[in-house]
Amino acid sequence: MKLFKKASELSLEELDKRTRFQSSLGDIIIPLVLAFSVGSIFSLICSCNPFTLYSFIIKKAFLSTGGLLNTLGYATPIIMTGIATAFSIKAGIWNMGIEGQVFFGAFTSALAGYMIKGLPSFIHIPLCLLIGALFGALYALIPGVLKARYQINEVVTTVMLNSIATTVTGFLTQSYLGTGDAYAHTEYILQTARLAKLSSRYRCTTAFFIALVIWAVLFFVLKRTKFGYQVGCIGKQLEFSDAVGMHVRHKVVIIFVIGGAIAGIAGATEIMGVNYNFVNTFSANPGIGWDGFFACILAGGNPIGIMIYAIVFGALRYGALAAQTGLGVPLDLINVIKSALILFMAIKLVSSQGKTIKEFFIRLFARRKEAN
Amino acid sequence: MGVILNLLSMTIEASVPYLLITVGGVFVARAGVFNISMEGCTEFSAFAGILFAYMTGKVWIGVAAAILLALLINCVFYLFTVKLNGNLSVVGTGINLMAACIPASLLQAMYGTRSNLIATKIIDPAKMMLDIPLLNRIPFLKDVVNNQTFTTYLTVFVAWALIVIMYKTRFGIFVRVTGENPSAAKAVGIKTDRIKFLCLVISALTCALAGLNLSVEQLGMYTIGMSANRGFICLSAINCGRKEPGKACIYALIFGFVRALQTVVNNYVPAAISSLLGILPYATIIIVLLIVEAPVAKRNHLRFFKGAY
Repeated sequence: MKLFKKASELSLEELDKRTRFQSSLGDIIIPLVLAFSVGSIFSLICSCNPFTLYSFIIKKAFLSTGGLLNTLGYATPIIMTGIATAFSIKAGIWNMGIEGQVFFGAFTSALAGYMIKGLPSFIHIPLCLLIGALFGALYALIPGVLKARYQINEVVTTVMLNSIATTVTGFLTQSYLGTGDAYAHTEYILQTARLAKLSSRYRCTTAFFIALVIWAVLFFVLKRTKFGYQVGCIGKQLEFSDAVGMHVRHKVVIIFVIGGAIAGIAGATEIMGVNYNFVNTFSANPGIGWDGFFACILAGGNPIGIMIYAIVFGALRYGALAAQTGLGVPLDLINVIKSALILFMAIKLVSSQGKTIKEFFIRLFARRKEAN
Repeated sequence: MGVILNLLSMTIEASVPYLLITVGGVFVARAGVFNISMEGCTEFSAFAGILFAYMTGKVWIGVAAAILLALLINCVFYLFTVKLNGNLSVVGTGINLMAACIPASLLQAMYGTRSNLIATKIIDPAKMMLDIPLLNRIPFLKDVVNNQTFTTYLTVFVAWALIVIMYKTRFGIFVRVTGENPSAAKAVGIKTDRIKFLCLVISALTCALAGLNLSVEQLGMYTIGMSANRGFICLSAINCGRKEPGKACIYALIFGFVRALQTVVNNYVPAAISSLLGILPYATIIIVLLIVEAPVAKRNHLRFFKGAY
């Protein structure tokens, strides 16, 4: 049996499949190359050889057990926030408020972590996660209801609510819940509320398995259930889905609430596994909610893509921290690559413009031959 | 009385960037392009204004650089969305992320701090306030309207000119047709892509002015995240004003007033609560959106309609 057939041996259907596969592969590889070349320019401005930088990041993030554990640790919340965004992106809703919901989830679970005393660990941990999820969902209810009931554009409201979330949690930490230290933070959570680390020196905790479970469940819901199908329909044809009786208003609210709950859990695990107390800067550069959002729009809402991008982003996050201390490269350089990647991914160069580019090159070569 | 005069003066100062971004953004919104990258454009021009003024020691080079950079960014936006059919929100998000990280990385690479660049040696914000000869004698106006930056007076002109362009010229009609019915516009022979490009150029110029007003004129320094969601706030102002420049400007003034109110009230409350006041502008916007949109939603007989955009 031959693995690779020649193009002439293929049937028309297979040929179509192959070109589609090639163009979709090209849509991923060409943006990657372009984005990393933009990153290289900025890396040169920062007086660092780009190849040294990239090989350093890959070596640090993937080529050792510790590095891999750190990468997974950084990827854990991004997997959750990414899959949380996937529902709204699939439904054509631009829910940019994941970051705010992460903040509320993290804040409330940090409070529950030290205020509720005397519980055994196996009750305390789920309770904290549940409280985080509940408050994340409640916070997501605001833009959800505004969108579903009053048709207010969700981009504006969610961005505003993000600012409100960071301000309010920061204010409460500083004014009422602070411990009197130089920087504002809440008290450390109790031992019973802490998630176990896989290895004491590295960042990865049991939260990674929680993330995997959530990812798998939501993957199933998106691909194999009626609700997931309806979400996709709403994204493609909103008026039509409403006309055939899909109760779009309810679905919109449910989509927001699911996203908020998962974002809340992501924030909670970050506190319970890594930080152990709430600091207003626990999610920065550009924030785990934003990273999940970017991973989701890069993957186009595809769960497997989200998983891959989340791990890549985790690696970039850890690699950037390592590169800052190791090579003296600014932390934000990695975000430049990310933003360039988003820009180039958006246009799907090969599948939309592939034909014109191909024709251009064919014409160019033809002209050269004529000249010769 | 002094407090009220101060508040009014602060309102004018705070509204200038809102007004500029809004009145430029209205054109883009009217042409049917949902542009969330105004935020990034403002941030970039605020950064470029200070950076180039600091590097060369001349303010006008900073101003020119800011305008050029803003134009470049909106050209990229035009190329990626209108020409290459990218998703508007994805491209906008990419540009916004770029605006958040490129200034930070450049500052850290060049000056070793990633938070701010102080150029008060070259730019004296106190000298940027104009003292207008006739205006400084009129009792009420001298406290409110006098001693504002050059851009403030320019803004009034720009807003007026753009409203006139929107409603009294051929170009304005073309813009409105392009947004309302693109295929009809194409059928009549309007080059819709070119109209969209010109709208983005207008938006780039106003965003550049707003960014310059924020960094160069008001403070003489640049800090990371200087535009502070102004792009999104103006987006909601445009939304509230139903994409009509006059109404949108009124909403921009309201948001500017709230921002000024926050700054003024800050002086009279204990320090602990003052950080909470930061939510005032954002909460106001959500409430205003609710007030404006709720009656429309009620009148809408369709069970679910796609909203303003």
